[in-house]
Formats: sequence, C-alpha cells, structure tokens
Amino acid sequence: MKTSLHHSSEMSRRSFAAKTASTFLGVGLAPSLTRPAFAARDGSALKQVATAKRVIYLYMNGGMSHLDTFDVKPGAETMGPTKAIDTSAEGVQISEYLPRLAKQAHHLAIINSMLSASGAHQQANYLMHTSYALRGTIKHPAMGAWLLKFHDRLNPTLPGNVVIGGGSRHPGGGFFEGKFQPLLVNNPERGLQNVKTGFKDEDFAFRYELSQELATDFRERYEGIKGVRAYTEMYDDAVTLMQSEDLAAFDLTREKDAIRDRYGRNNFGQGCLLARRLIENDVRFVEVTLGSWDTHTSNFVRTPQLCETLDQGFSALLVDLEQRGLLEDTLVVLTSEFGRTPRINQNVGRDHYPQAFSGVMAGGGIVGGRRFGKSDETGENVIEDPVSVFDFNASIGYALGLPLDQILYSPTKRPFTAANDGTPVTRLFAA
Amino acid sequence: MISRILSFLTLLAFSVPLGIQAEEKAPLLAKADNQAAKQAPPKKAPTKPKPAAAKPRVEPRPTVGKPAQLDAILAKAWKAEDLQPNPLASDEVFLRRVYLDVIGRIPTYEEATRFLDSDHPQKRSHLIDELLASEGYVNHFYHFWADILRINSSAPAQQNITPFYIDWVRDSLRQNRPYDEFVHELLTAQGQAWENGAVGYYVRDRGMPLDHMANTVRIFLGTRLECAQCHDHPFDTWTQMDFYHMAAFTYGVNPSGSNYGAVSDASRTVQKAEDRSDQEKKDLRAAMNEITRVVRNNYVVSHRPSLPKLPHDYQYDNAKPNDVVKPRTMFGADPKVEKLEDRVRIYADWIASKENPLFTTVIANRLWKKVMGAGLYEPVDEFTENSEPSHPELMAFLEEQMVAREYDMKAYLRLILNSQVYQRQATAVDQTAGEAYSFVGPVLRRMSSEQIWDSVVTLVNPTPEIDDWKRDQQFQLRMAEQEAMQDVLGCRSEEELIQAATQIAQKQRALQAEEKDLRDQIAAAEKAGEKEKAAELRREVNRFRTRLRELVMETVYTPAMKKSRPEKVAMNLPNGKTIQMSPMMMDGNGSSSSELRKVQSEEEKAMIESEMNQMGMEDPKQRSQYTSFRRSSLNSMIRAAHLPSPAPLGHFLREFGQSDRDTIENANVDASVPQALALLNGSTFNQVAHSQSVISRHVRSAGSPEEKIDTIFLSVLSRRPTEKEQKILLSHAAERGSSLYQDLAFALLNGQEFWFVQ
Repeated sequence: MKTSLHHSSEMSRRSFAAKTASTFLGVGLAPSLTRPAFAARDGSALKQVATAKRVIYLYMNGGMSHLDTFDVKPGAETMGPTKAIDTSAEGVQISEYLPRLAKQAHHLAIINSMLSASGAHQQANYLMHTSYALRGTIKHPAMGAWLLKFHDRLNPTLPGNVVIGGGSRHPGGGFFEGKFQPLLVNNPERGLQNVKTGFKDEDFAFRYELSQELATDFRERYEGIKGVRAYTEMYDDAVTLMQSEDLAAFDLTREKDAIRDRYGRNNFGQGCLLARRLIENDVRFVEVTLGSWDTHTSNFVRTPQLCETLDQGFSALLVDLEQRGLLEDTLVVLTSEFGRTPRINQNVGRDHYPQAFSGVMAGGGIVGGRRFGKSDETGENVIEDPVSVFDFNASIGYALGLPLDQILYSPTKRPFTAANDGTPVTRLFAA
Repeated sequence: MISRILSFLTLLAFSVPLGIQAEEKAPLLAKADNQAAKQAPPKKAPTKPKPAAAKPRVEPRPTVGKPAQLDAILAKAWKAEDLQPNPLASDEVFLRRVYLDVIGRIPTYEEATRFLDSDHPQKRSHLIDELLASEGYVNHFYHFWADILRINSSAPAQQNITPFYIDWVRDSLRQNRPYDEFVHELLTAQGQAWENGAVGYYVRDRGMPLDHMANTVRIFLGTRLECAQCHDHPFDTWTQMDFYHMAAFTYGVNPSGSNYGAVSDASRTVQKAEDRSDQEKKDLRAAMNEITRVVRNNYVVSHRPSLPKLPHDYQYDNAKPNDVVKPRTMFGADPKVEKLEDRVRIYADWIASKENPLFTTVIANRLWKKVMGAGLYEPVDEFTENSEPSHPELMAFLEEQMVAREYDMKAYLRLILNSQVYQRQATAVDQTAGEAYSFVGPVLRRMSSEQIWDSVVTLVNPTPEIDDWKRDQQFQLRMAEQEAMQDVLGCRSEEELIQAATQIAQKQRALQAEEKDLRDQIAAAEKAGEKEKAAELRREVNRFRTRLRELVMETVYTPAMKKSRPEKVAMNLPNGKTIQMSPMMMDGNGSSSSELRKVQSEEEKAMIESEMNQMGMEDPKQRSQYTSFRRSSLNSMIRAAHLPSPAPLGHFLREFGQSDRDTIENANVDASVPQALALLNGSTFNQVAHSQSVISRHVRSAGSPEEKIDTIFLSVLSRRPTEKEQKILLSHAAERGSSLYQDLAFALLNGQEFWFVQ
C-alpha cells in the first residue's frame, strides 16, 4: 500500500501506463483478442493513410433544422424569418443565428445533401451512430468503438472513448467487448466520478491496506482464476488512477475563467471544452451532445436559442483547437439524426425530415471553406451529390484510416463493417 | 436436429412406467412457520389445450426422481473420467451461496446466525424450501427472466403496458406458474394489458414482427434464426424459407391496436360532412386526437389474418420474391394450419410442449446453469445440429425430471439445490468456450450486478424484502383509471363524441390564439434578454396546455366516471388503513397519482414514526437522523427489482454490468475500473456506514470488540472471522479505536470474497 499510494516517480507512472493499456475499462485481454478476430475481405489492410488521429463528434439530438443553420435559402418562403449571413469563406452563407461560427467557416466543409432512411428519433439516432438499422436482436457499435477496435488508445491511462452528456440510449460499444464501451460523463463540470476519496488520506490508506491484507487468503485460493485476478488488477489500477496526473484532463477548474466563458457556461459549451482537454490528452474519440432540437412548435424561438449555445461552443472549440495546433489531426464532426421540414407547420414549428439535411466536418484533413452537395431552392430535396448516413460515417472512417471493408463478426457470428459498406466522400479531403 | 429428436424419443421410450404419477413429497418440516409446507406445488390448469396435431400416443410419464439419483449419475461420470468431486461445502459457504442463488442477496445478520447456530439435521433443505417460497425468489428471478425477455421498465412508449407485464411475470413467479403454461400464455396473450399482462411480450417487439420471431425461437427453443431472416443460415440448416414459415405464425398478431369506441366513426362522419369547412374539419381532427390522448398508449393486442411476404430480393428458387408464406413449424411435429385464426394457438401448442424436441432441454439446461454456474449445453441458446450435452445421461435425467415435475420450476430447482453436487465446494475454473465442465461442484462466479446491489441493500435497509407498497398502489390506481377511462370512451356514442369534440375544438382555437400571442411575447422577451419574464411566459403556455387537457377530462371522462365508478378506488395501506381515490382527483393526464403520492408520503412518515416509537428512540436528533435515513432507504436503497430497470447509465447497477435489456441476456460480469472506484469512493459506502444502517445498528449493539468484529464478518461475508483475521484486526484495535469497525466493513466490501459466490 505504502508504495502503491505514494509513488509518483516517472518510472512507476510509466509501468502503470503500460499495464493499464490492456486493462482500463475492461480488465485483461478478452480471449478473442489474443487471436486474430478479423476476417478481412480480400486480405485488405488499411486502404489509406489516416488524416486524423482523433475525433470530436458533436451530436445535435432531436433533429437539427437544416434551413435555420447550415443550409440557408435566402428569399425562400420555407425560411420563415431566418436570414442568411456571409461567412469567412467566400460564397458560403450560413444562418444569422451562427455569427461566431460564420467567422470560422473557412474551416468547415458543410454537407447539404445528407439523407437518412428513418424519420423516427430512436431509429434515426441509432442509424447515424452505428450505420445499422435498430434491431431487436443485436446492438451495433458506434464509431468510437470501431476506432478503438482497429487502433489502440493513444493514451493508455485514460479511456479511449468518452461520451459527454449523451442520453442513456447511446449504442456505445454495441456487441464489442466491455472495454470498448465509452466512458460516460453526465456532467462535464463534475468530470470523472468517484476518483476522490471522501476519507482522510491516512484513513483511506489504512482501509485499503486492510482490504488487501484480508483478501490474501481468497486471492491465494483462486490464484489461477482470470476473473479473480482481474479484480486484483482492477483495484490496483483504480488506486493508481486516483493518483494519476492524467486525471487533471477531466478537471475543468484548471481552465481560466475567460476560456470557460468563451465556450459558454452550459453543458454543451463546457462539454466542448472538456472534449478539447481530453483530445489534448490523446483520448481518441469524444462525443458531445446538444439536445432538444425537436422543434415541432415555435421553431423560430427555440432554434435561435439552441444555435446560440451551438455557435458559442463550436466556434470556441475550433479557435482553441487551431491555436493549439490540434485541428490538423483532429476531425470535428457535427451531425444530427435528420433535418426538419422546410414547410412550417401550424404551430410555427418544423417536423422530422430525413430526405434532406446537413452535417459539418472540420479539421483532420478536411478541406474547409466550402459546401458539398446541394438541396433544391426550398431545401426539400437533395439535387446534387447525395450523402447517405453510411457515406457520412465512411468519410469519418476514411479520415481515421479505418479499413472500411474489413468484416468483423458479432458473437452471433454475423458480419459487420465499420460504416456498413458506405462509400467515403473523398472529395471532402481534396484541395 | 434429427439426432436430437431421436435422442429425445429414446429417452421417452426408456422412461419409467405408465401411470405412476408420484408427486414429489414436500420435505418433512419440523417448523410450523415454514411456508413451503403449506403450499403444495400448484397444479397445472387442467384445461390446457392439447397440441392440435400431436398424435394420441402412449406417453410414459417419467417418475419424479430424487437428488441422490442426480448425484449417482454424476458419480458414474467422475469415475469414468477418474475425477474426484469437490468436498462438501461448509454451512457458511452453502448459506451464502443458496441465498444468492435463490433470492439474490446475502443473508442478513439474523438469517446467517439463525442458520449457522441451528443444529437441525435437515436445516439445509428447510432453508431451500423457505427461500423458494419467499418473495425474495420473485425479486431475484424477476431479473433472470427480465434479462431473457428484454423487459424494459423505462421505455417511454410502453409506459401503459410494461407495468402490467412486469406484474404478470412477477405474479407467475410468485404463483409458480408451470413453465409450459407461462410460455404458452406469453405466446397467445391477447387483449388489454390489464386483462392479461402477458400481452407485454408482443408489445415489447411492436413494429418488429420478424425480430420477434427470431427472439422467441432463441429464447424458448435455444435456436438462432437471426441469420435466416435475410438469407439461408450459413452454418446451420435453417433456410430463409424456414424463417418465413415460422414468422407466418405470429405475423397476424397486432400489438399496436387501439380501442377508441365510436371515435373512428365520429371522425369519419365529420370528415365526410359537406357542410363543414376545411378549417373546421382540421380543428375537429385535432380535438378527437386530444380526446383519445389519455388512452393512446393502451395498446390492445389482437389477431389479424395477415401473412408475411418474402422479401423483394428473395434469391432462392423454391419461391418467388414477394410470395405470401404460410405458417409451418421448423422441426418436430408438423401440425396443419387449417384456419388462420388457429395458427397462434397451434404455434404455442407446438413450442410449449414436451413433444417439442428442444423446449424441455432449453429450460432444464438454463435453470441448471442458473444455480450451477455452467450449462450442460453451452451456450444455452445456440443449439445446432451438432450440439451434444457434456453429460448426456445427466441431461436426459434433468429433462425427464422437468417433465415429471410438470414444468414446476421451483420443484426442479429444489431437486438440484438438494443434491450433493450443488452443495459441494465451488470449483475455480476459467471457463473456456467449447470446453466441457465436469461438474465436480458449482462454478465460482462473480455476483451479478443485481446481486451486488441487493447485498449492499441488505446491509443498509432493515426491510430488504418489504413489498414496494407505494409502487404497487400507484400501479393499482393506474390500472383502475386506465380501465375506467377506456370504458367511458367505449360507451360514448358517435353524436356525443362529435358534440364533445366541437366543444373542445372551440376552446382549443381560443387557447391557440392566446398561446400564439404568448409565444410572440416570449420571443420579444428573449430578444430583450428578459430571461425571467420569458420563463414565466413559458410556464403560462404550459398552463394553457394543462387547461385544455383538463377540459377534455371534464367534457368526456370525469362526469361519466363519477356515475360508473361512484364507489371510488380503495387502496389498502400496509398499516391496515385504506385510502379512497376519487375520479375528481384526476389531472389532465387522467391520473391522480400525484394525489396518491401525497397521501403515501404522509403514510410513510407515520410508518417511520411508529418504527422509532417501537425502538424507543427518543432523542430528537437521533429521530431526525433516522427519519431522513429511512426515507432515503425506502426510496432508493431498495431491491433492484423495485427500481426502474435497466437503471439509468452511470447508476451503480449499470456500472456493475446490468443488462440494457436491448438484447437477450445482455448483462455482464466483466471487471472495470469504475466499479472499484464506485465501491472505494462512491456514495454506497456512506449508506453502509450511516449510523442508522442495519449493519451499524448491529455493531453498536454487539458488546466486545471481538463480538463487533464477528458481527461485521457475519453481516458482509456470512461467516465468522478466522483466527488469523481476528488477530490482524485486534492488533489494530488500539491504534484505530472505534473507527476500526468502519475500516473493516470497508475492507470487506472491497475484497473479492464479497464479489464472488463460492
């Protein structure tokens, strides 16, 4: 105990890091990982060199209105009172509700030709996250889990996949092993839970040591058992993590007030800030959710409010990532389950609309400052370069250098690929 | 598959003589208070329909076997393999294991000492009977079945159905409904949830009839058909056609029906009327929607004549794409379906039958695994043509016993629990897939997430098994209200409905105009940055909505309910008192649950008062501590079966691997760092260490340090400390003083011996 609680030498930190590499959120290597679990089609390896190492995935929960954000149609009746404004990218206009983001538009590839197969929240949300239809017989992994499945964590002490403020229906690691499940942070202000003891240090040390001492007999009796050993390691790791400097990544109070204000003092803004801190500490995939885009009523009151939050958090994030030199190899993605009807309903709202909507990508090899794909003059139909959910997700996978055609089998022995055979939109990456 | 069918027939042929229908005798019980003695295993309903196409043949009924037979079969197998069984487990190990296996929690301090201090020669079998007869069995096996059936108590769209479904499953466990009957009812359930909670099985898979069939075949016949949903199974014999034949049995089950009485007639009349303007029609449609809103999610399960069509890209030459497929079983008996309306019953008869080659095997193997830690077939739900049990003779015996006991699950469990093999020391084995286990004893297991939670609850809450009377009452009230509202709506004539809708539409229009005005004001307030004003205006908008809903209640529902239900709903309280709920208490959502909650809160306060008085607790500070502790333990530190499940992400239960209930048996027992963090630093230990927790009170009332240490060991690990442990602890007594006891509780909760079932 005395050693495990009070060491902080570089040496032991490193050996801890090496050990946790295989043990963080799930302890020990699952047997299926020690032998090749992949059955590659055509023996394919990585198809392209990754342009991004990490992802910040901003999810607009509830269905973000495309016309009132990234697909403005100046003069069209379907726009309602929403106006378009010019941006830092020549010839690219976005909604007046996103003035700060307009100044960062030179980073953005705005995709105006997205299509989804579902107009129901749960189904469409699931499809967007996993590229597969929601079924009652299986749960598919989301992109963060695919990334970790193919590429190791960059920082072995911290989890590789974090979801901030996502609802409890996130598909997470799907049918992959427990260690691919994302770590969930409900409230970014509170960070990682249960990492501080409520006791005095010496009390904690005594109690922990006592627990180790009393556990000796049981541990010796079942020494050969992986499940029992896993719990010994788990406690070692937990206590070491409590001492780890990397924990600071979760601590927003270490940021200056000015920075925290710039991101917006709300869950989404602070979530974006936490995402930046985690990415800076080499966490691979961070998702931040901004909810309540389901504006069936009073769209033109509620959407501007949501946009205010989005505008502040997203733009601060881009500026911050660029200043820290992180934008180059961090892909920032913004998406939603579907768009909203161009036709304005009797409650001055907009309803679900999967036939045409918008997503955004920035950084990580994306060439910014332009639009991709097009919807017609009312925003009702895609008329140029349609991008399906599968293609969108394949593009994320492409940026990360994932082998998109490599088949992995679920425990039920059914074959799956990272983006359900979507085709990456390579033009997003070309100058 | 053929080989499996053959082996089953052989089994029947060799089974014991006709007509000997021995009822397993309840063990002779010394204690009069033992529930099991009074409750003979309930008989199966005599009216159960016989399989339509089953040949009337002589059915040799197997005799009811004894635990010793089971042991003898395994002894032979060990001998053949030159193996020694594990030694018999100590009373301490048996005690803790049987509590966790049967009722899902560790024994309380009193339960542990009572058993360990008893020298009754049959105390083990008495305890088994007692546990099987207790409510704890229901609380524990609920999770076992909810994980298999994927019951999600918090799925919002099914809030009006799931409580009835859960109640039905729990009640089936409580009544010990025979498994074949349980399954038959799930598969054939029709009607409203309050008439038959089993309809929840179909409602759970609303909108996915094909997935539903794949799940059903996997659950009850242990066979995977998911692949065949889209193409012929690549490794097994099932074809896509087999799948569609099976799906055709339940394709006509409509789990989304509604029962709005004359509403659809009224709507049609209104929409056809030539003298009404489009605006008027639109308004009336909206008003009709408001009228049905309170009963909208009361799905009625019914049977329709529809049949599935093959997919448009069907690729095999035994049929054409889009062909209609008729029902046909995938193996075993091949009953003819003459009339479509019989098909669900024929299908249920075929599945839930001892003639079905897999039905008995699957449940016998599942329950064996539940208590022994490993199945004779692994996995328990992936049978293929080549599946062989690890111990064929034992498997045959277990299947035979399941049939002999007429699918009485408690009687079957009693057989295994009373065997020596169950009562041996656990084997520590790393189970590798594909490697058969020799069953020289049960397998060492990590507790399930619910077992860990419920065990912590046992250390905190003095009444871990208390019925959740508050939830139960809310449920009864909801049932009465839903049923009454549905009745009232069913009795409205077309004219009455049109009249009511007209009245509501008028009011709705007026409210909408005001609401629009309010929304403009909100927008203006937002622009001007007047947040508080905007928030107040938003609350005003909500009040408008509420007013409209109340209007619907007043126009359509409440007056009639006053007439049809003048007697009110009476709720019995645990203290013998009764609460009267009247329809007048209903809010705009047709619910008086918030009223009931107020009454319940008062009742709970009184209950806690009386507990304190009984304990003679007088010190006001102590009383207030006790009150707040008890309130929180009655609401949050309760059995996992009484909490919403799956629990929300981040909850203790989820961190420890509770199933999300999205897919079948999706719980896990993997170790993860957040688990250790939760027990080391989370709020759980504070509950255990609270001065009013059960364990704290026991420790306080124990005398010497040795007795206090004993008490903690018995409470947490159901055993007394070893000499070595006692010595270690006493050596710290001087240095740690009275905090030693918290130190010890913390240390034991964070040790593997607590997490694992030996």
